[in-house]
Amino acid sequence: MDINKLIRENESRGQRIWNSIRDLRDNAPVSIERAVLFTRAFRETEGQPLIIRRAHAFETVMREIPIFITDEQLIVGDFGSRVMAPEFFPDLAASWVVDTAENARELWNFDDDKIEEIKDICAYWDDKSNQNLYSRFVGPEEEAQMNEYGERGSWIFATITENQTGKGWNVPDFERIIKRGFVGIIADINRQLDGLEIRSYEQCRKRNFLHALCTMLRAGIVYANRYADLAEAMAENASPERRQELLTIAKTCRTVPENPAETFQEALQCVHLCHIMTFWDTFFTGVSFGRVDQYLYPYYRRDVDCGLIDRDYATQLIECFRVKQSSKRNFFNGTIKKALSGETHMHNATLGGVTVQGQDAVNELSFVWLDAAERAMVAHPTLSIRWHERMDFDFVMRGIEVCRLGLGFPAWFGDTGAIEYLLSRGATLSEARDWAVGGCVLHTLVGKTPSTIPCVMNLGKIFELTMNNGRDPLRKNIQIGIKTGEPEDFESYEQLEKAYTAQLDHFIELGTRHNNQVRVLRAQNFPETFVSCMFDDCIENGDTIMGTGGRCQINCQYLLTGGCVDVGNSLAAIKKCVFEDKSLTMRQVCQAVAADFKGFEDVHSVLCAAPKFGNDDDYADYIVAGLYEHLVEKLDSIEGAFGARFVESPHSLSWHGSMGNSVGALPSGRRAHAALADGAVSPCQGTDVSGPSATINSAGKVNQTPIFGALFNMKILPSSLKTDEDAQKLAALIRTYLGDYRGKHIQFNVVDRQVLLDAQKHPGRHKNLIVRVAGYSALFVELNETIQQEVIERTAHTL
Amino acid sequence: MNKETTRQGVVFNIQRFSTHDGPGVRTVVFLQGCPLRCRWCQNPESQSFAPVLMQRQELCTGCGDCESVCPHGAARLSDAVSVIDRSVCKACGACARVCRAQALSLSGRTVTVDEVMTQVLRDRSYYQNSGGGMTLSGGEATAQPEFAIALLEAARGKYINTAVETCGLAAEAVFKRMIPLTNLFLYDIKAVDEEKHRAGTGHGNAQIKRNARLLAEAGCAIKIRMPLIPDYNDSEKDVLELRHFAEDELGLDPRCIELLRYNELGEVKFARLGRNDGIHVRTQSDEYFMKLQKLLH
Repeated sequence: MDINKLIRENESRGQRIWNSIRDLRDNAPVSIERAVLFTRAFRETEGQPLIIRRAHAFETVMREIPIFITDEQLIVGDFGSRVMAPEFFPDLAASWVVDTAENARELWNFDDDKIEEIKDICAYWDDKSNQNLYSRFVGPEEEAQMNEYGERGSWIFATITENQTGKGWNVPDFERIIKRGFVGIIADINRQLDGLEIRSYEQCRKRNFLHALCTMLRAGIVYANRYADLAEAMAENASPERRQELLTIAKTCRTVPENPAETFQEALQCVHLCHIMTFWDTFFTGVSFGRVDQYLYPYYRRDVDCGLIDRDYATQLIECFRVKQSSKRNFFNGTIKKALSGETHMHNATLGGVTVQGQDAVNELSFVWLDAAERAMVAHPTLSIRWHERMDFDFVMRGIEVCRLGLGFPAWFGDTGAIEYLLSRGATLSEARDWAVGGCVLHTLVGKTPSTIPCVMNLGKIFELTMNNGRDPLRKNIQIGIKTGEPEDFESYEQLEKAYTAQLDHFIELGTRHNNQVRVLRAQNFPETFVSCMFDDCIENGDTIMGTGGRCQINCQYLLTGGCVDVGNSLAAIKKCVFEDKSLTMRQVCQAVAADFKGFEDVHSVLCAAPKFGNDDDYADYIVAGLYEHLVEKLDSIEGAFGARFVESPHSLSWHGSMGNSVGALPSGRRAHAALADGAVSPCQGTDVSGPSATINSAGKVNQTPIFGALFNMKILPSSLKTDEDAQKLAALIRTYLGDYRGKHIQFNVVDRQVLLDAQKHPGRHKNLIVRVAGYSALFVELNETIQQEVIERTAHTL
Repeated sequence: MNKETTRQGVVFNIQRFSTHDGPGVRTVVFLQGCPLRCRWCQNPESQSFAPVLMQRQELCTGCGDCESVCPHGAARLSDAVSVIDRSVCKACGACARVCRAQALSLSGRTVTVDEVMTQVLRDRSYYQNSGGGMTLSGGEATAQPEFAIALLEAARGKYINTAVETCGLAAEAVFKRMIPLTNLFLYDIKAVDEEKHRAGTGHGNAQIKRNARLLAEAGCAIKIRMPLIPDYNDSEKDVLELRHFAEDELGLDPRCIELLRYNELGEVKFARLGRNDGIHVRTQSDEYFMKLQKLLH
């Protein structure tokens, strides 16, 4: 009898906790506790520098926000004042909340008796929130123009998202706090303050920053001690077993994050507390955990070796951590909620990879993280494996075993490709070898790469505009783009390609300019102070990581494109059918597309039969490869803020759904409003019909090295992953893509179409069904319809 | 060398990332034409040596393009669905080329060794990373001997692992030439009893058994495979006879025998070819299949 299997079959601690709180996700009312405390504190500090006011407000939250400890939990600290409650951040964006509370209750549940208070809070922040400060800065004219381009206009950029979500997508150096504690950081701050004279603007800013950070760190210590007090109080009436657990929690929270961690539980608790403190400060997206099997390993090893804990208890601790992370809510407005479907978190944890010396880094703790993910079947944090040629094959096979569960993770990252990329952007070899996944698929330098939020761009829309000489046919033909010629007049393929490139470059200029503006304004109006204590240089430079705090400015500004493969397929179809075979005229294509192919079924089938990316057909594949080449080159010529340069990172998230919604039919044969292809090199849904090796060969033709995170999704039928032999073939496929082709990333959805269809019909029966969307996994029933449909329609491969 | 790479043969399918026809990830080249006429054939379109027309009537949109291009008057619309008169059809493929609904297709096309190898080489990385390679299948791989041998030579010239899936019915000389070029033979035996074999396949098996001995004596890696056909060769007695043959006459370990459960996939293809001589049976139950497999341990 396989004992491990028996244990696995019984419900684990993490799974029990999750099951007991899972249903609260559907209806937990919005909590305004943080908003109330933050607002009160702001009213008390009128006239002081913003960063000081925010620190004081953070302190108030840390001292007074309601806290609780769930049954059986071993890790404490929450993302809300009540279990699963979405928390409101008026300082980020306020004005939308009143409207949502009054008119869109289907999106969020509000307590009726809080509405007046919400109105009061929103009124206070109406001229102070990050979003409102942006509007004031650019003025109504420019704001209106950007809205035309944004999600509620033609959806060329995600302008609303840029101003109203938390930034992040990076990896703080949690190890710094584990090793030195807040006391160590406070000592650093005091050293800097000691010799500080105020003789320049920078020195003044530095002083304010350091005072603010110091206030926040002290407040964080108070917050941890409140949990210790609560655990001790609860221990009094607890069962003997639980009493022991609660006392351990109390001892842990008295130690960390104030002091260096000594045990595995303390180290893990420290990571979690620092993570949620970052959240309470500024809200965030994709702030990731880095190489959790590396920096936590010494604590794990020591505790297990000296008998303080065993592997099973360590697994339970990680399960508890996973459940905590999965309880985070994203309180977004309707537009963003639709775009970032399934409340994506993208707080990634990285496993494996190589050591700074270049050896295989896999250890026992790498396996334990997979065990915990298997035992507590929750979506977060998503796990990523840095795969390399010399990786312990047992670990590869164990990773595939977890993939088989259908959670959509672990995702697989090509170590060599990522390291090559980072070296080419100026990282040292040691820095590059120590990279971790930031957000969903970004290769990030731990404790160095600043926070970011991408400039999101809809290439499908830009192609549609090209097909209409810059007009948007879905918005009464308003002239939103530049005039690049009527396609019916084009006499060669090159003319079409040139028109598209001109249209694209125009929007890249606009989009990146906006992104720069948002970045600079955010650094000024919404400083990310707390998280800066986990980044290099900030304390020395006296500024936040979002601003001029960090020396390292690579990768922090990028273009997140969606629909490159759709554009490639469209170009290939026109090139083949119109200009080579001459089986269609440009006029026919334009008419058919305008009619969403209704009455043009013949034209549709000719276009569908043209070469499509994902079938190892050089014709379409190299068109897509060329499109990426252009993007990379063009972006490299654009300067970002604070010394950054723009890079291309097509990781789509769930934006390919909402982007597609705003794009009419395309010459590729894609119908109007359908999702665009997800990620960077995933084929359009259902157009890859030549088997997995052909699909991967196509993806391998794109030069991925200069691309900052290239996402590739593959759906595999569970029936073809039954035996160990099958798993080995998947391992061969991973090796070919990430090793031979230097692919950057691949992930698998192992789930039956029937199950997904049933979950659409009967969401109640599939509340815990997890699928991979883009760089993250999510509960299927929480995804919007477009994304659900997109996941269902991806081609399923048999191995 | 040049002559060999331009040698032509008829192939009806090239299946990439095939994972159950030899070790690792493989590309299977299916050669058209077979000397046997098994009623349960999975690929009845491949029995004829000449290309044949396949029709999936359920996909037909009744556009009538096939009728207008057919030079022989074999395709006609009847009740808005295309109907092929098989007695007139020459399988020239004109209709398949214009069929937008992909309801008509031609099985079998003439290709050169070079053309096949271009496809095979596309997945070279996967072979290296999984211990896979190229498998020749059919139809019957040995029934186009010069073409098959040229393919094996070309693959070996590129360090690609080779497997040949065969029914064993070919001249001894062909196998003798294939032996040094083949890493693994997947050798089908439908029945050990000669008359039973004839009844199921239209051909006796004396030559097949002789060739099996030839390969065994030459020390080739062999996997004996028996497709289990309900009510034909799936009794315990049939399986035991096969075990006996493999062990006592070929001197092979019975673990080299693989029983293949009956798969209904081929049945629908008979209809697509306008044939009604296929069989219609249900596959073996899990329990029964396990029981048969145990006879080999």
